[in-house]
Amino acid sequence: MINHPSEVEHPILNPSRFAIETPMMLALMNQVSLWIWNGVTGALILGQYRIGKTKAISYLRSRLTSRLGQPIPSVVMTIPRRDRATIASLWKTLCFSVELTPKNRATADDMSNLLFHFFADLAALHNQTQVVLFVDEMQRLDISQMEVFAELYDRLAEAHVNLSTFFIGNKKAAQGLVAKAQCEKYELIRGRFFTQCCNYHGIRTKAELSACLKEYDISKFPKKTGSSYTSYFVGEKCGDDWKLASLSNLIWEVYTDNFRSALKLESWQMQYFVATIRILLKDYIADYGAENEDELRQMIVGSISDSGLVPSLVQVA
Amino acid sequence: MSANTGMSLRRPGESLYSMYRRFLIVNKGSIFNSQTSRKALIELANVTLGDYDASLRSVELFSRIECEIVGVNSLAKSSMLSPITFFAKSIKNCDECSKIGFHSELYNLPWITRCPVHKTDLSTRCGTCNKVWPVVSKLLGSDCETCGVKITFSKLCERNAFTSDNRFKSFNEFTKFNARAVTAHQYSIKEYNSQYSPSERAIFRKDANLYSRFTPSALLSNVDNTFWTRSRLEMLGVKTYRRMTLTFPRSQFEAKEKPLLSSHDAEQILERVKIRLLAALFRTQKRFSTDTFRTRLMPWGENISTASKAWHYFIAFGSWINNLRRGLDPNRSELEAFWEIDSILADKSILPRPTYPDRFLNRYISVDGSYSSTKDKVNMIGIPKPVLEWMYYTELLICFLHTYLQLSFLKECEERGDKYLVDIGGIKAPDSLRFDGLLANPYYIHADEKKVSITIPKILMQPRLSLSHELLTS
Repeated sequence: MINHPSEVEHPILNPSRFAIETPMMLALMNQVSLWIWNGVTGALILGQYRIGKTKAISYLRSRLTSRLGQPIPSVVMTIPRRDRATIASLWKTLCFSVELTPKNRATADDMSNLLFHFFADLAALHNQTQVVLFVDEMQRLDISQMEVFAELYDRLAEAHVNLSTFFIGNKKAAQGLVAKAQCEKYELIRGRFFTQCCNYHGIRTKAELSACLKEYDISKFPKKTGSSYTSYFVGEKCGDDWKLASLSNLIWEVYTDNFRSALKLESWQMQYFVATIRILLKDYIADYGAENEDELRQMIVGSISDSGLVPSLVQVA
Repeated sequence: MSANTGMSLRRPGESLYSMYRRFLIVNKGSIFNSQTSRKALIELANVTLGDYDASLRSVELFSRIECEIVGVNSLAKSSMLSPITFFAKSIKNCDECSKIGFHSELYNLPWITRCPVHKTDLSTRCGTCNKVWPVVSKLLGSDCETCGVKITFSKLCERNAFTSDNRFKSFNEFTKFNARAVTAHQYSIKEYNSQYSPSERAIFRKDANLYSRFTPSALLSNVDNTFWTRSRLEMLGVKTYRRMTLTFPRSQFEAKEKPLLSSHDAEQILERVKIRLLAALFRTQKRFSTDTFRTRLMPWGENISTASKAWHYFIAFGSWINNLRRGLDPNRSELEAFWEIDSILADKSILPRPTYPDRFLNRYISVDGSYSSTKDKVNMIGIPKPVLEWMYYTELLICFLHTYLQLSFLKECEERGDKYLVDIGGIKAPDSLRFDGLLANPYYIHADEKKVSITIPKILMQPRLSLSHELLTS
């Protein structure tokens, strides 16, 4: 039997598979848990592109628990861009995102019926009265489509199932939708989903950076039995005791001096941070070691530059 | 590709029929809710297409659906209910239960008349559309919001279908019964099919309605006696009767004492019973060739085939008595039974047999397919409950025969000038003779040093049965 590449390849080398527990994720999980425990019907989770919102959701959804510590079932759906953003198309998207297959001629009523039962089943299977729906790329929604989530909530409430819907989207792109929701006509939508908001961000402080780097020193591959991510790549050159977190000050210094201010970055997006560390570990420290600070500084600058952080901010004039 | 399972509508003790129906209800609008797309369901349940038709109606399919789609192995194991209703040609259900997508296997048992949850009478027709409850193959075609599968989520909410109802927990009590029902049902069908030709089976199904009446009832008896308490039975609307005990001083049975009934009187009564039986036969002889029945050999043997035939005749005999009471003519199988009973009544050489009542009534069929005369409470299938009513009448005959035997014996003793006590049923009969016809209401004859008591259901006090009462109390 041939192993899947993801089983033999180091996670750091596989961006789609790689995830570390960051302080921002933990903060988001605490916030979402608090919302759920307090019976919030919905909220917005907004942030820049590529800061790891989707990764954070997939991390926290399996860790959500009730006040009693019982796992809360959740579903994630991603809104696709469509020519016509209709209610029926959203029901259909929802059905497909939970792998339900409506008939070709199924009406919106049929599909909604299927979904009501799906969520009721989900709650019953987990012996819970609470279920959570994460709607990713919410900026692609039309305000009229928000009625779908309101209806889901209403119907499930009749079946004694509490649905909390969290919308995840890009802060700037979602402004239009949020602004429309302020209209009096959409008071119900606004009151139900848009009263609570949380800004998700990338690395903003040295402490957050340090915590993220520590994860590379703690996480192991293969899990439990393997060496840490750091020592996997640089163990031979720097020794197994060498810690990536020891570079926290230097990396933060380089980032703030050379990039943060110059590029006016609110936070260091996780995609670029992860790419930076991948390059730093695999291509630089693994080959040149980490003894000389000047060399390290150059390595870090090179890693950040190669990570894509700078090109991504280039705008067409 | 996945399907909803309707776990939110699941309630304790639901039948396979109910599981299937809720599956269709919660998948309304899905490709799984259509006649043409069932292949998808089969494929989803990982059943090979070669087994398509068979598996569609199989218990296995549903356990696979639960195991593979829902991923709840433990639940699937516990839901292996008796598939009787799944194959049934007619369904009995409670209107209120049906509105929330529920049905229990218990409902189809003939002696259960009331829903234990809603306390409403069970019916063979839907209270909303007044059509018979749709069987499995007709479920998709029904538009009714009570008995069909096109029930919206909102409607189910209105009916509190998603609310946990503790009253349904009472069905948990019947889990043991359900578990045993599968085995016993399979055995019954196998045993039944092995003994009769297809044409005979058709006659029995039509006339004696064995599948719907005999078999489920036998299943009931397949549970420990202590399980069926009066309260449990009353919860299901099963009629239970109070018992009465008729006690006679033992001294009355001494040879020199005056007999309860003279042998002449006894013969007169027997004759009257026979005339009544014959009159019924006479009315129907134009329709049936009685010779057919006379020529058939129906010994009361202990081997499996003859004992089984005896069993069916015994049931049919009860059915005939019921029909007779309602002024109806007996059908073919009932007439067969009549001839068998009649031959016993006519044959003087059979009557004095002291073990006759015991052999006649206490016939135990074990689940593994063997017949036994021992009272193994765990494995036995006793005399089924739906025959309760006619059992009283038959019991009357048995009591009568007892008395007759007693008198015959007394008469012999008298002629010989002997003076000693005799036990009910003859010298070799046990002191306590228990008829397990009704498990919750046992009735029996017991003899000790001082008295003889006969405990019977109080229904024997009804006018038609006064003969026995007078006989016993005179």
